[in-house]
Amino acid sequence: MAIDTEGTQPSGNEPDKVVTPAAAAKKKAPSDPVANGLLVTILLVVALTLVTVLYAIVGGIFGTGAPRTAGEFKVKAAQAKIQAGSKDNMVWVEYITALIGNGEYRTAQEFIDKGKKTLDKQEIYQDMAYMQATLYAAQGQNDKALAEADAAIKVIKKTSDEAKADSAKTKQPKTAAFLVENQNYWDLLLLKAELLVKKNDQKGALAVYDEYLASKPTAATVFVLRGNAKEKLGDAKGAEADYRQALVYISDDAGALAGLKRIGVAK
Amino acid sequence: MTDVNDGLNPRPDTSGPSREDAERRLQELLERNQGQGEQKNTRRRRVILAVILILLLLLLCGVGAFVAKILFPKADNKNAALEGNEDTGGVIWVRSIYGTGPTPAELFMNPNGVATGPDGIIWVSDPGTNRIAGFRGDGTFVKQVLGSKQTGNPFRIPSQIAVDSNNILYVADRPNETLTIMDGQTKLASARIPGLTSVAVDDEIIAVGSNSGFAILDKDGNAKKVIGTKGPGNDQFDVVDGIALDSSSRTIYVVDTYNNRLSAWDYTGKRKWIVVTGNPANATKLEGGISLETSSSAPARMQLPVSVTVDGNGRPMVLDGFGFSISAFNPSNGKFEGSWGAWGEKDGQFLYPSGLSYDKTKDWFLVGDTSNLRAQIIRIPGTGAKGAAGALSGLRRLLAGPLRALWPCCVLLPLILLLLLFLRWRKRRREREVVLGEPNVDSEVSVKEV
Repeated sequence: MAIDTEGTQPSGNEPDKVVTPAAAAKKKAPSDPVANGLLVTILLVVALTLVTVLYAIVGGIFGTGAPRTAGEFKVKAAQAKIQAGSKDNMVWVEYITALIGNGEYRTAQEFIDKGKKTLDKQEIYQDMAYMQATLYAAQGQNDKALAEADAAIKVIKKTSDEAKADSAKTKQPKTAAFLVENQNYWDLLLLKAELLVKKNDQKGALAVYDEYLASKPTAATVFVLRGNAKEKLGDAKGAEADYRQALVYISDDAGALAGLKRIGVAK
Repeated sequence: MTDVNDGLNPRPDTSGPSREDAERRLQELLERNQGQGEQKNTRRRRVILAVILILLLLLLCGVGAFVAKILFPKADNKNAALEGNEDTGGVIWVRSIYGTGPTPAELFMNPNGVATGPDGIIWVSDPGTNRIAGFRGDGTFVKQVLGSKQTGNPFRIPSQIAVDSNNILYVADRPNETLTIMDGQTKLASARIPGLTSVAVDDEIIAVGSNSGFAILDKDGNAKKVIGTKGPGNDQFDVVDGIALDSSSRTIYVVDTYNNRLSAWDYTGKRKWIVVTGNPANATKLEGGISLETSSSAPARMQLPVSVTVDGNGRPMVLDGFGFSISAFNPSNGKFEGSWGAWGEKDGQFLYPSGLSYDKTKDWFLVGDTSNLRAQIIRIPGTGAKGAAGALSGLRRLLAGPLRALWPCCVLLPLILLLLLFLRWRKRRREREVVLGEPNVDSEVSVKEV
């Protein structure tokens, strides 16, 4: 637009002042409001981030490292025993279980590997195999977990059979090696069943639960798990029987009560 | 007005181009090119800045998500048999406090009493380590007061605690039957109270529970009224493990632990009501190990009431140490209204809890979860204010957690935005003044006919 801001005629001595838009742009070199806005926003974001970080550090947002959940507490409690130099298998299992439960998989793997090297070779295999299978399961590697659990179950069974044979031969009972005494075996069975349930192989899981309950007929939790499997297979009567059996041992078992409610026989 | 000459369509010169015209045209052409170059530069600058801003925001989101994962712990309460979360009996877990640090010496050994100060500091007494530790709402450690079993200074073995509106700490040293009053680290006073079990305080009175009843003291520690004798009778008590005050209704709630009763009293010591909350533990047999009988005809069916507090609706909330639950009662008649909580060691569950306190400002409860070696911050639906006050409580809870790191942003951002708006407004005003009052060839361009 041509705007005569002077409002006067040019004098005859002065040359006409002609300014094109490009020249005007160059002359004025106006700042770009969009670019300025973006720049201010960037600076604002950076400044506020720095203030937040500083406040977080000074204000102790990150805490002292004290545990904040039951899972973290279990890790810290078991870690203290390990750091005190414990080579007790059970302590290591407790620590690795806590790590897996708390989602610290890398450290758990590290300690499984370390455990295999550090602890007593004779006893370590079963514990660490169980831990390895649990770790794989927690990581969602169900096939690997199942393979590891199966292999460990076979080894434990073989050891148990050998111990039984040896016992019969020498007439000196080695009950510690028997299956019923081996907690790893039963834990592995339950893990295997859990993995089969995850694979939606309810029949396979049912067989494992049957084996478990045949030897440990008062395991209320396993009755609930078997009830769940039967329920999924459409066996409502079988499921109800299992839930009710669980309530015989734990009268207010939440899993059993929930199961009965699900199949509509809560009363 | 003169003709518009935008420089793109110069008026044809019928008399033939002079040298001056040619130079002018050349100059115009050059300037036009330069203008286009400027435009390109502007566009490029905008794109670069926009990309930087987007990348910065993405980076912040990524870092924020990572930090949030660290700062917001995930509750450990999965249950395979339930195919979902562990039953917490309707309790909503907020967070747990296990101690002042990660080492065994720093962890709680026997957390018992819990209370919240007017500054939001959560106090937890730990008789096992002879200390009272203070934490922020996000569970981070602030400070602690250490006791001494040898000297008794400032206390020996702290059990139940209370804090008044002036941040004065009242510590019941149960084994030594001493009430210690402290201002921060400084011991202000102490008094020997036979059979001392519990303490509660407000701006008007101090109420202390004992093995045989309770006493109402003024804020100078002078006894105004002593109520009860030891025994199972209606006017008797058998260990007052819990005592709480409701200042708004001037009511004292008393938990008579072994008689399994809850009673309400006014500030003059006159009883308003009394209810049986379960089978009296002093007249029952143990069944199944350490569990007491549960076949009480009392609707609450509590096993061992051990602590009491008042919720946001003025209801007495009683902690059942052996029932692993918290029960609500009607404040006007003591009628049982509901129960929440479950046994267990997972987050949100209880294992022989012994201390209970309610923070009205955040609508959450503190539980001294003794056998789980922790203090838990939990919520129970329907215990707090509703509407705007409820929303305010929610905001306070949010800013009491790790999100409190955003406090400076919340304060600074509006201030900075206001400042920017002010600067922009001032600039525009100046420009308007220039246009209207002081014409300026630099700001407005005159293009004249050639």
